[in-house]
Amino acid sequence: MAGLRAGAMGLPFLPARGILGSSYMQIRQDFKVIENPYNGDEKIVLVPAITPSASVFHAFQSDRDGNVLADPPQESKLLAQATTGPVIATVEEVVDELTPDINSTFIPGHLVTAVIHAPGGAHPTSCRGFYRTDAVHVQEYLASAKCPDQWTRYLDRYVYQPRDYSQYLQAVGRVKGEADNLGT
Amino acid sequence: MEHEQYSIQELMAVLIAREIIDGERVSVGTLSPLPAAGAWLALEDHAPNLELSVLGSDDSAAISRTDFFDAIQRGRCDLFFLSGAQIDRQANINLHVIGDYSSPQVRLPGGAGSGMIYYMAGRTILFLNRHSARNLVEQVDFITSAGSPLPGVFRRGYPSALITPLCTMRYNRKQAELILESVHPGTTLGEVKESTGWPLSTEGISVTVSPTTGELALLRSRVRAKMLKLYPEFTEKYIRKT
Repeated sequence: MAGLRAGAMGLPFLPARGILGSSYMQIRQDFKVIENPYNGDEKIVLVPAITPSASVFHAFQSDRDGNVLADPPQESKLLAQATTGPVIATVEEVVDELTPDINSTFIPGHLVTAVIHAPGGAHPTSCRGFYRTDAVHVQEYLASAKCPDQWTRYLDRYVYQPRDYSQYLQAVGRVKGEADNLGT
Repeated sequence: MEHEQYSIQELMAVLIAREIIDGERVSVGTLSPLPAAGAWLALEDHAPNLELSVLGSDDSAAISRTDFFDAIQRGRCDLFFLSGAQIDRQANINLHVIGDYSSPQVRLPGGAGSGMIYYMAGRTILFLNRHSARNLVEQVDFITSAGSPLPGVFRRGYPSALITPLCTMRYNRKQAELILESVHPGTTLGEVKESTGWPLSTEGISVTVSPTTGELALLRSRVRAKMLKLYPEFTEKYIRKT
């Protein structure tokens, strides 16, 4: 999070609380420890900026100018701000006028390179206000991931065979374009 | 394990509630049904002045994760709750890998902020859905967040207690260690010892006080109604109707 925020702020790094004493310091050689220059008694970790060359995220709505309404955690907005190249938003619906509520994050169109209309695009996870997590599918995924044979079958059925996203939604038992049918 | 009067989850929710002090600023993170039930029960029972934020519920939906983390870093959270795939004697938690990091047996989701929150919340209550020698270990395979202090590192708070389906342990800061405090009714000390990956001192231990009828009544009425919205499957399964 600190890395993404540094990227979004156009800074090379940010100091981050915690982390010292954890195993992060063994696996992340790029995390540096400095003495707090304003308080020499304190050691603090520096986390380098994350600046993806491209990013893709799923959101609720976009309008025709590429303005996007996304999830409340704001990671999508941070991601869009930190990305140096194309930013692609897949959205549940494209509308003439956005309908923000208190929970939505507004991502201005100048941060977004392209919008793709992809209802059901968060499947099998949830998209608030549109559909819940597909718990049955997640269970199937978990069971398949335990056994190489079943995993191959899972990939064939849901990844390789569907030629586009609507075929994927058909394969998982969800029908494209009918938002109500995506609910559980 | 199953008691006639209450489920083990109901007991754990009650034990979490009892840890909460009136007036505290309490945050409950995602995927935490037991702390959510416990915090809501405290609010209904003995802590009406809690400043409570349950992530994902109606009352905190507008808080973004960055705002939430920032607030914790500023010291605006007195109490938080964490769990782990492994927790060890020194209250280190592991949410990263089981086995060696470079070739793990199981890869887990990661810390999701716990590397900071554990240090920056006023105190943290740990909870575990299962208690076995596999997840309560002498030393975790990977320290996602450290339980014990490190010289020169700013730390606002420490682990407070660990609540499991079998017992309650209390974190002792001097010893930098989780110490067995009480064994839940229906569980034997032998069972707790066998299911814990380090030798436990039994000095001064007691039997956990069972939920009172008052606590259970609140849990199964007002708390249950709130829980049904946020954790419908958990609630249907573990919190009974009055």
